[in-house]
Amino acid sequence: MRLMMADDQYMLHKLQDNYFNFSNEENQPRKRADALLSSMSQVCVGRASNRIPAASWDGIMHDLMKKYSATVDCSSDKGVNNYADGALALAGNRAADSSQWKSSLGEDELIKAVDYLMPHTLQEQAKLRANFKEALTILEMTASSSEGKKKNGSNQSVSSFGRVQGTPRDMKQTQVNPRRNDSDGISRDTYGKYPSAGKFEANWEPAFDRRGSSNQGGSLKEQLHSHLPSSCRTVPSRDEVMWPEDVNSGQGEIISDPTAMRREPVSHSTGRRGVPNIWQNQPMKRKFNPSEGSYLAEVPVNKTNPDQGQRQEKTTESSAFGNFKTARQQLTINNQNNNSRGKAPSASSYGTGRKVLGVSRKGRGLNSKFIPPVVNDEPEGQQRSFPTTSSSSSLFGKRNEPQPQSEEVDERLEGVDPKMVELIMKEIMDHGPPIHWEDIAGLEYAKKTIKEIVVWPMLRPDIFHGLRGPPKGLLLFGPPGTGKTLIGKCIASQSKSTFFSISASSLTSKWVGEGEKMVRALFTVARCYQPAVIFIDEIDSLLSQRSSDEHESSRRIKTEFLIQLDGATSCDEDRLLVVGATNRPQEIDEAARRRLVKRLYIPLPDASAREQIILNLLSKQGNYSLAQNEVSLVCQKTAGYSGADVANLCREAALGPIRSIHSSSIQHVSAEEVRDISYQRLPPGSGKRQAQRSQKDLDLFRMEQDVWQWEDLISQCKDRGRKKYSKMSS
Amino acid sequence: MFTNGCSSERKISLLAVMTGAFVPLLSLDQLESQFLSIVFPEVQNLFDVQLTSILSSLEDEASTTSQVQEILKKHLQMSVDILGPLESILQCVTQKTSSAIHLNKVHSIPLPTLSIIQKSFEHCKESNTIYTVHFEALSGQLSLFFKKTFTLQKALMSLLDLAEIQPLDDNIQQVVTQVGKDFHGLCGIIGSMDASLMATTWKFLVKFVTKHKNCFDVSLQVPVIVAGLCSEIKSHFQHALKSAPLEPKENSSSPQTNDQKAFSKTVKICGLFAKMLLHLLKEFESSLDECCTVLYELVVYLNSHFPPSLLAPSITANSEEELRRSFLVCIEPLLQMLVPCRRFCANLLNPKQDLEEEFHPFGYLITLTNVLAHLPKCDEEIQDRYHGLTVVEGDPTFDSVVQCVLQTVAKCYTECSLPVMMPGVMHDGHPQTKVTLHEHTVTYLNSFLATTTPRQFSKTVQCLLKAVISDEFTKALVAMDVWCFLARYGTAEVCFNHCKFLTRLVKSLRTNQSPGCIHLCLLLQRLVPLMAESSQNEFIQCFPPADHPNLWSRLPLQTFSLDFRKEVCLLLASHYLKTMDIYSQSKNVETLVNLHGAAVDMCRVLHQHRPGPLPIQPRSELAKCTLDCLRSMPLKNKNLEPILSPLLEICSHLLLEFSLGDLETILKVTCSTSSSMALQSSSISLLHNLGQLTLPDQTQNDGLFELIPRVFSSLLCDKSPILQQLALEAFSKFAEETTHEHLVPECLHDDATKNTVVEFLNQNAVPIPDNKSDEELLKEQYKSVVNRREAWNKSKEETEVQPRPLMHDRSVSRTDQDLREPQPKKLRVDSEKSLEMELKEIEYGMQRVKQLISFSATNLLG
Repeated sequence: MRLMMADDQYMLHKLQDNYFNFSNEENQPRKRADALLSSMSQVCVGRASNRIPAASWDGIMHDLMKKYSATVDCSSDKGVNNYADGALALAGNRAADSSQWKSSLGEDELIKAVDYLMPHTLQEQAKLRANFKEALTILEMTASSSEGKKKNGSNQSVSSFGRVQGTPRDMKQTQVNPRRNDSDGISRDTYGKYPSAGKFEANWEPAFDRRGSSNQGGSLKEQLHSHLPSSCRTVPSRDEVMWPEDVNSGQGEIISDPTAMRREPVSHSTGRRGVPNIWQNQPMKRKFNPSEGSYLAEVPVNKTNPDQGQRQEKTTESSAFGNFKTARQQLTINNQNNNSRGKAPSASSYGTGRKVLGVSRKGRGLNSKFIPPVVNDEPEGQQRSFPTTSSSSSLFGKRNEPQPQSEEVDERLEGVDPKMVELIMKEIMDHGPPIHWEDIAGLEYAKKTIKEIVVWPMLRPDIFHGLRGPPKGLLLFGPPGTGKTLIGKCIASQSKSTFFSISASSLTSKWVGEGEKMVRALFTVARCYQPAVIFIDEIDSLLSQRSSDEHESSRRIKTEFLIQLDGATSCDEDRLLVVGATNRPQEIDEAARRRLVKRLYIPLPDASAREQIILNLLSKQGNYSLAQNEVSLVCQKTAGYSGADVANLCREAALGPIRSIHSSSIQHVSAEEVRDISYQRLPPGSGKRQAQRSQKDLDLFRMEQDVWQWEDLISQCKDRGRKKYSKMSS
Repeated sequence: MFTNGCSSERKISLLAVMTGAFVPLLSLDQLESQFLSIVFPEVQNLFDVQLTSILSSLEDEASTTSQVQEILKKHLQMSVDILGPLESILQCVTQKTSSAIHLNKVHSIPLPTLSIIQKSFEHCKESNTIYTVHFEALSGQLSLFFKKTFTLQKALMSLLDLAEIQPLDDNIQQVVTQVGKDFHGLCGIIGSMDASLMATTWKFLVKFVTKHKNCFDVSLQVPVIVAGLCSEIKSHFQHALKSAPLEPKENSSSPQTNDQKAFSKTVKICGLFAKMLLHLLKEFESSLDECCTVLYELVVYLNSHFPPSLLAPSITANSEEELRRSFLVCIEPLLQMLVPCRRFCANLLNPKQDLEEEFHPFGYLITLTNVLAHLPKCDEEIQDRYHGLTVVEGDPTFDSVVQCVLQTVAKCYTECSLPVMMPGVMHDGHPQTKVTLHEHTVTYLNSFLATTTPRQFSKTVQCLLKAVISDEFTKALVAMDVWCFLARYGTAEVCFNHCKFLTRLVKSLRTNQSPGCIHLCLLLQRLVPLMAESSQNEFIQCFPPADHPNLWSRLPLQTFSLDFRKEVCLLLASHYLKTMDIYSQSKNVETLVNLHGAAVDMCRVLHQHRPGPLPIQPRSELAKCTLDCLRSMPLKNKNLEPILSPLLEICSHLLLEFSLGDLETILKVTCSTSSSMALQSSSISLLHNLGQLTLPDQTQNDGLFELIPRVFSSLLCDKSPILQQLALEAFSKFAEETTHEHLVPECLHDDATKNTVVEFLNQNAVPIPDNKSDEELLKEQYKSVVNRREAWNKSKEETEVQPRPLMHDRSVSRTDQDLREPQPKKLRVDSEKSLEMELKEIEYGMQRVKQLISFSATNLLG
């Protein structure tokens, strides 16, 4: 390494390190965003200690920022979504309604900001002007000295070419306020009066020898002739060049040469000022609806123009240095090796596909057909002596094998095969809209118990340890459709712990012995990401009563589950909670029931809970007109309904008004015209059937509860004598 | 008899007899009057006599050491003898009464005993210094003495536990407060000696104070006690950190010295102290205000010394977890109590605090983010105060908390770029991941700002604007991220207004390469795509490209449709050619400056379309004219550099348009640009595009083939790190894309460049200069940047001499809705006298307008 100053070398190290990180597609978006961030700050430090000029700094920063915003501002899972997930989780349900926000940036801020930054512009301008003045003086001297001898007018360049025609209105406007047409010509954006069309003074002083350039003078003339058509003329584009009247006064002959310059057919015909309908860019669906919970406007992943995008996609793809090889790429590498070993790779054979130095980490890996840059004398044997087999990779010393990009493998995960770990990681609840405790109607006792088991131990780990530690298992049982799964989701979003939602299918597999390994993997992964909650829906399918005739693989899964739950391996201060939900508790295996210490019966919603559900659903729908007494009447009628039944009822009611409109006029009726949901829309009949059915289940459960209590009592006083009497709410 | 001044030995023996015989007999109420009030003061001065005699005997060197030791032993023994009976008195008093004792019955006990205990402990503490030579001999005696005092203190404590004070007369209250003070002093003394003893004393003190709440409320004792507790917590926390088992560093071979047991003990004590502090504060809500400053410093101290910060020793993960779980969990409730009170807000947001020397930006930042997490829970009035809005008139306003966070982030440069990893936010069931400091700050800011009211929102946006136009990049980037979040979270209309404002600001700054202006353009580059489709069209109307082509070169063109992009490119290209044309006719400074501006804009547009070609057709003319203009300028002239580099860059973008001859000339130009950085950087961008070049394989082009390697090798061994990195990237891209692979080896002649290239291709970065650690280097970087900035500001102040240009954009005075046709700003040329006059006239007009508005407003309201 050349002798560089320590901080220069360090900056180079940082820049390269970050470059490898952010240009590697496989890295997680968060990691790439950090790498971009730190390389940007390094470049800024470079600028501050002026190792690079302002112009190139501006360019570099814009590049980096484009990549940074591609990762940070994009809302898909490939991006970091403006760090919004964490923020909205933190804000919870206190997030304010941002629709009243007003932009407060008025004139005084503008003046303040301009005054703050303007001195810099002035300084720049002054420096620029000083430099140019000096340079021009020198230029004049050299130009005058060589004026005498150079007579050839051949490169008398063409007369001025048309200027871009400001809009007619623009012309008129300049007459209105002469001040704007400033004499000192500084403000470049005025297109007002255009000084008389001068010739392109071509008495150039060629700073370097112009071999063979003079003969192109002629063709140069034509090119310079061609005028860049102003696309803003409202007149539909014609083939030959449109010249504004005042320009032709110039003496140079203007050859409009249609061949030299195919005029770009300007397609848009709208008036200069009218909103050009063709400028539909990538539609960015601007939807903001705080109440409905999805706060952030969706930003389409690829903002650039589609064809632009592909090209970019292709170029970034080929230049990316992903050092993790997918199977397809591995395949290409292998057949690269085979054919290259066969015959001497002559230069021409490279001519066909995209020639690759063989270095692009993406697909090719280093050993494919890279001609090592070592220059030695015998030219033709070059390829031969450095066969492009893998041996050449050794030439470059230790090549860091690309480790798998997944998180650093935790040492506890050693025993489990990574594929399973990955499978389980997918089981982690993906984030639907966050659910708060208020969203669950009624079930006060159940919610309080769950908070006590799940949420409080998180807040005060120092209090909840030892005897007061949270229980290992929780069973939610009760008639179907009363919100057990909803409670599970609520635990996920409110409990600030890793949430695995497991179903019987995700654990079983067709290979013998796989099932138990999956269960073991599940618990080891959960222990890695403590505190963790494992939510098993329909647990009775997984842990049904063990009987002699059942298939031995499901039996093995059950035993493994029981061991993990409360067996020898699980130590007690693991912060792990298994939540089971079922509506047939009696079918659960007896040993499993013992391990699910805490049991919560989720009853059918009572009148007030039903009312809350109905109001909640209808208010979401928006237009409903139900008097208070009507609502209470409905509640009484729907006694014995489960939460799901009530929801179905509301859906029926909501469809009621639409059924009243006869089918022909359905197309052109507007959403507002649909009449509100009113009382008579609620068909009383349909409710009855559900009621009886659930009544029967209800008795079953009540009987079920008594059986359990009785069982517990016996087991308590007989053998273990456990003091704690498991509270059971009715 | 006892008091009539017989010798001390007699007195002690008498005391022993009396305690044995009399005290059990006396009833409780007689006890005080007859016995206690007489005996205790006497015993106290007896004890003082003993101590003074010990000290005096230590001083006189006359007698030999054995004699001195003899005397010392005697006196020590006598003082121990005093303590014994005292303790028995206390015990029998406590046994006497089953239930509570009324304090004024035994009011003479506590104070003298306390002073005795205090003196004895002090004596023990300094014993090893005072006794010097005799210490070993008397150590047995001293430890006995210490134990005795301890038992006495325990007896006193158990007595006081039973005492209560129903009828509150003032002398009893005075006694109680004095006892509180003495105990506090006692804690101070014991502090360094024995941890468990101190813990018990503190626990007793807190219980005592809370029990007699009413009398302590009045006295200003509580803040003093709280301060004492805080210092205890700090010292113990530091002790815990030192004793924590260290993360086994690979290179350091130091064995694990700190044992786990000592660590967990100190952690337990810290936890105890924290709970006591919280308990005390919950009791004494009223005095919370006074101790705000102390508590604030405690919180900042804890945050700045806990592991993620650089000050903290690198302790093992589970010891960190243990410390956090048992001790740091007290910070949350503490903040919960502190956030609402105003003094705390004043401390937190006062701008001058970063001048103190032990101010630690990282700890302060973490405290701020914690407060941000708590603020949404408070009511709006408190939030307003934290936003720096005046809640009630006459209320001193502070900086907004958002501004403080942004300023502190700028100071935490080392932590941000290390990057220091913070525990991430747990949400939606995902496991907790480690996040960088930047993301941590942005997330907390976003969550806080998501709960702001419209009034607070406007104040926040002003802070963000100030941060973006500042020079520090870390601050600007945090502000940009937050702004993008708000743009997406807020309504489309707000986002549109912001974009419009920023564009007007950029337009009025024109060719400005200051950090602030570049930050603005970067922000715009992110905000414009976030605008809704309808507002984007409106945006195009507000700033029609025909009127301000240079503005559109700074806006992200990718978000708009291809046709619009074509139009803008056409405009810019023709404008550029026009200025070039004007320059060629009359070569004066103005036209050159114009050309410079147009060239820079052209560069930007080309840069935006970098991978793909410019969408408009007449690229070849552009290339030709630029090349000719480039030829016309002498390359060696240093002053022409600002115009040469953009021209060269334009050529590099349009490389494919050139004929072979032109290519050769360009490459010759790039070869000779070794001198200046600007030209080098534009020649590097040329190298980027060399890859796509496919040259016909005729032999007569060997000149070209020979030139390319020369260019590469000259640039690859560049000194400036950033340029070298760009050159490396360009080279790897070229090597990958070019069809002339034989050129590649020729570029790497000397092996130094070859090594760098090979290392780069192997993706192992340049090693860190080994003598320094990551941290130190970053600190150095930060220091150099700060000094440079101060130097620049100083130079700016000098140039500030000429009056600041009051450049009003003419459109400012006009109302907003006429914004569709804003007037471009005029630049003040120093020699114009008439302009001076005009400015004054404008100002006068403005004043008039303001008065009119206020006048009309008053009589509207009136």
